[in-house]
Amino acid sequence: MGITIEKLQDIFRSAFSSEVEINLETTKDNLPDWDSINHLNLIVELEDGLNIHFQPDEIESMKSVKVLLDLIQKKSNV
Amino acid sequence: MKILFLSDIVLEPIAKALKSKGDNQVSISFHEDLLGGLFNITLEQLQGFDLVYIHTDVRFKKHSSDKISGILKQLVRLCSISTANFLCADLIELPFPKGVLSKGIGNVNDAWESISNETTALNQHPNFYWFNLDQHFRNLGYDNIYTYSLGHLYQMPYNKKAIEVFANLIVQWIDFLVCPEKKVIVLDCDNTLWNGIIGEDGLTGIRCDLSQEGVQFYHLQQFLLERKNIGFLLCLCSKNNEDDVKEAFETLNMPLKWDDFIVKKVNWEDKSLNIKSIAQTLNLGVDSFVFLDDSDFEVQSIRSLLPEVKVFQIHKDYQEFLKITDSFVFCRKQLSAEDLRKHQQYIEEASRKRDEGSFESMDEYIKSLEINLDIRCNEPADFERVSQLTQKTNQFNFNKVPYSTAEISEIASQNSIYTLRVSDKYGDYGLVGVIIILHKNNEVILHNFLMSCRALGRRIEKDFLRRVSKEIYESGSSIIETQFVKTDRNKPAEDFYLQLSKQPIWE
Repeated sequence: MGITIEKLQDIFRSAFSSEVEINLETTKDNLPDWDSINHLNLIVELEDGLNIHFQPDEIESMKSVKVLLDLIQKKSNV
Repeated sequence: MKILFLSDIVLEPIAKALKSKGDNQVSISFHEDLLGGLFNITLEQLQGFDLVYIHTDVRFKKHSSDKISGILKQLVRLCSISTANFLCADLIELPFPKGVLSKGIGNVNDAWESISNETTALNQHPNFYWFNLDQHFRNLGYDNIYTYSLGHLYQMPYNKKAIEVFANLIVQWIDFLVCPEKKVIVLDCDNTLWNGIIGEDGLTGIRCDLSQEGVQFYHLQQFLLERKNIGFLLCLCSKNNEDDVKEAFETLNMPLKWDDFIVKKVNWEDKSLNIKSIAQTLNLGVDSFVFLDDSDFEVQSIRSLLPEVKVFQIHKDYQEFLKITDSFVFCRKQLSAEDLRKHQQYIEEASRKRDEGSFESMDEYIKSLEINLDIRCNEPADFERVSQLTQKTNQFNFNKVPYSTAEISEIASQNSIYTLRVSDKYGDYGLVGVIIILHKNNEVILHNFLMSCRALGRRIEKDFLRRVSKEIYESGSSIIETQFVKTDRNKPAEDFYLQLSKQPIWE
């Protein structure tokens, strides 16, 4: 299980309210829209959309799409 | 709508949800320490906002009662200096109800006492509202709302579901604050006020009691009686024989009685015509009407023919019924002594109208009313009602500028605010007219003139203005300018103004 990058992109778009494009190389540093408020919006959407719950240290570690996908994968397998 | 969020919680996700729901501009002012934020905000910063929303959450922030009391005190101050509406989440209150933990903790009651003075003071401000958010959160269940990881990282403890509920409620609040208040509730009878059809089932066949078949209808009648007591006018509009309906109200032991309805249209006419005729009788626009009916046909026809009327369809379903009674439409922004007399005032008005027909001319009729005008100038006790009239009057209003009580009092310190009370042989109209005269470097300006609609049509407005201008003339000056601003709802004022510019009263 887990999540496809397309599905993740949809979640990014509704969180950021903009048509952002993401790929495996996307990070907080190379995606200008990914500021702290949008990070907050992103977590709200992820927790709701995937029905999972993140711990504070996990939320802080999510600095790239790659980390995000791994984390979601790990959470979904539990 | 321009909204300012003042909060110690990060409310950006709620602002985002709000922006997606219509033309709302939301500004956010976040302060780690809400009290400090409230102290630092200036009147200039509040200017231009229609709504100031204050939010903190005691379940998340654990404020002391001293701090809550400080926040409320500061809110009292802001409400009195600004004309914006203030909406405050009730999550600001102490989280436990009075008395519950008093044995174990000891000072809980004291804590409640310490904020009760501030809440009382706040409730007296007409521009202040409590937002009963906690009730909605309880309905959802706290466990389904809070997400503490986000809360402790970003000071934003709500999950998506809570954010959605929250934004929807604020949208409803905005509608409530912006739209004119509803004043009249028009009711069908069969399968609306009782279960069954009086013309077919007869007196013994209809149900409005605490039985399973009757309880929804009984509770609706109780609810409507409460509405009447807070100033709503109840009317009947039913396709029936009037005698049957009258007999039902008089013989069955239901919460509502025949006399609780101010206008009764029990006939076989088209309901939209009946509603228009009720509006004419009451001298109110149909946009202040709510209509309740069970029939698809009637509901659809009123929705299409009179779209300004707020229509609810009654189903035999208690859950649906609760959604209707929870609607903001049945709420009052504030309750004045005037509102509580409303039903009585319209009864008096109805007897005036009834007698009107028996006179030869309008002059003769007006004379017969024995109208008595009581004019006062700069009377502090009137300022709250004056402020209310500047906000609520639409039809006869020269200059739709809303003023807070504090602003009225400020204007009165340099200028003249005349108020008019009217009574006649049928009863008391209350405080129904205001003239604001500005004195600027020896120039006398008629800044605003407004009359409550229930006093119109008796030539009172002319007498009122004549007597005010006479007083000004006797003090050695005269009105040199009249300020009038046309709106889409002040036609009666415009007519009077145009007449005035052709033939000034003070000459």
